[in-house]
Amino acid sequence: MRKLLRVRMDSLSVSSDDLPEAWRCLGGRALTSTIVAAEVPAACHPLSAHNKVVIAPGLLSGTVAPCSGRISVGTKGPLTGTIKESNAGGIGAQAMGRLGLAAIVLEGAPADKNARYALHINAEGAELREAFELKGKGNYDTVAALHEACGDKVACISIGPAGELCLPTASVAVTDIDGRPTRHAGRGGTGAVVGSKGIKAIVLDPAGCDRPASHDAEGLKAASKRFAKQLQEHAVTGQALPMFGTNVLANLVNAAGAYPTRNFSDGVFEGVDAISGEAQRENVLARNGTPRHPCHPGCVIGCSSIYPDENGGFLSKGPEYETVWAHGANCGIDDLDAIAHMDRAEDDIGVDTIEMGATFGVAMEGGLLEFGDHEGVLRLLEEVRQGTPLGRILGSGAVVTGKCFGVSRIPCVKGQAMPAYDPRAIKGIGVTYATSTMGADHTAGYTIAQNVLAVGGSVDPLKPDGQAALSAALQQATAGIDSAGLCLFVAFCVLDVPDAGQNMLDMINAHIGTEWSPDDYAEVLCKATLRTERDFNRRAGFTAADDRLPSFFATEPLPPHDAVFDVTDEDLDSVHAGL
Amino acid sequence: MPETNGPMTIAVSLRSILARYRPDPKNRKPFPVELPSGATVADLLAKLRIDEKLTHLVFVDHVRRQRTDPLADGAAVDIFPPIAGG
Repeated sequence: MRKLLRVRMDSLSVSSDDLPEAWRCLGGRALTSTIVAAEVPAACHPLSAHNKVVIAPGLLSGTVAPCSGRISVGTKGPLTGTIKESNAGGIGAQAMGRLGLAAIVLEGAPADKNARYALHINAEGAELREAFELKGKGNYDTVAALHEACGDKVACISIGPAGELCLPTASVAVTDIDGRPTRHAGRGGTGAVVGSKGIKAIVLDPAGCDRPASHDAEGLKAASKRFAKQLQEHAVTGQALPMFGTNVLANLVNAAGAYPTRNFSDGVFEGVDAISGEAQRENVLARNGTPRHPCHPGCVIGCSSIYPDENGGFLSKGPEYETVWAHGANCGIDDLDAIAHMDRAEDDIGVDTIEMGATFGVAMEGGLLEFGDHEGVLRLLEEVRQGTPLGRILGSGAVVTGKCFGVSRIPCVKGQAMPAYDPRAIKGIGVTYATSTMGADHTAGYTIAQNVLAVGGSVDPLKPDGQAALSAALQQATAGIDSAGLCLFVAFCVLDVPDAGQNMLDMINAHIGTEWSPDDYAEVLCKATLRTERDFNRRAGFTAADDRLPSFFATEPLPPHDAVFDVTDEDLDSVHAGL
Repeated sequence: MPETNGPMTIAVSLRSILARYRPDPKNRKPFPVELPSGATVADLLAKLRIDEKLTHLVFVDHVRRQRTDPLADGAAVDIFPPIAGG
């Protein structure tokens, strides 16, 4: 029986109980959202003692299932005020799976706001330890100190200074296979809620623990083998992503005229070539970096990389497509090395790279600094780290920064900044931004697959027709993948290869002992999760009027297509009607 | 689409693993290709001699086009194999 570990910060106590039977078949996002919805008052302030943080590995995490190392962090989000689930790779999910943990629930708040604690979990149990020495440290130094004390085999979940400052852009870092804090549950400010609990880090030591027991281990093994083979043979998951990483998309989205440039004022960036995935790979190879790097054991895709500095030393993990765009085209910056330095700084400070890049784009439009000023960005990031008044403004995200600097073009939904696809030129993703339970989030329903990539079908990105149904189907599918603990990139294969979805379901059924049909799976992990999240948001005060894009997307034509977002409100309201 | 009498010049960008089909694989900049008036996307792909299954996406002046679509003089064409990211 998987365990639910509760950490009560008001009494500084830890207890471990069996996961309730009603939640036995839930994992990842389905479990975090279910617990948050059941236990957190929807109207509470996200930084109050009433809020909770739920950290859960996916259903399959820790097993032999390929690409199943995603870890979900759920809470009421400080950036959005909605329910929030943000997931990350790294080695934390598999460590939790081996430790038999379905979820860790951080609740209450410590009496001493200046105290810092680290939660240590191993095969013997869990305990809270004072960790004042970690106060104010960046994620890199925090992890180095924990490795020094606990050995370098442990998995670390941590927050940086931004989380301690309770800034709503704060992320939760998870160590990768090399023990670096490069994988982040970035979106929505989950790190601020962890910080409000006085928790600086969680150390997971699965030494002596086997993989989680499966109902049908042989069945799981066979289905995993079939699924892995399909992933490796697919052109995207087997070839393109391993070779060029996620940033291979830069040239493509730019070619589609949908690459948001200088704070969403253009769809084409003249400097895209210099920050493209191809250029990134050339830099990595020329400096003897690592062009292919899986973020967790058992990932057969390996879309990440190690990006060296000019002298060949480690600088950061290869900045992802969204990160490169946010600090690149969106800020008018065409210098990959500068962007890698920003990526490193933001991983260390512990902030969401999408939100921060969008925030700097807004700040540039507001005149705080010029577009293209990469040195200014790095300087201001240090103000975020220090928590200066200006740093706190920027660390509060694009909406707050836009208000402070008199900017009207603020590309956010429900308080959260849009990622690297302009919704005027790719209308399906605009539907997802508008109607996601999480605020503007591309991963919530990645219509780019059909709108641009021609994977899993094709829907014209420039027309409003069919976008609502496309987004609805993908939002449901994504909730299931996020709950299984699978990397969302498996969807490229699942959408294209007839048996892949069945193999994915076979893995889940074999592991947890269900006999779910595709419809059963869709109901329990996909639709129910979205219903739960939308009900929480309704109770938190959100209505259909919040499922809209900012008005400038309907009134400011985007070059080169001179397109506006013209999906009707009726279509947007239809997205979740089938739940 | 304007008709022209002479040959057309198209600016071609080959992305990702298609780099090996460029005149200079290491030069990522667009290169010119001359085609007769009225040539289509398919004619361009044939001239470039790229394995058909690798030409998954073709964008002409920022709009995705099919193989049967005609090209115009001065068009900028971006050709991609199957890729994804996000």
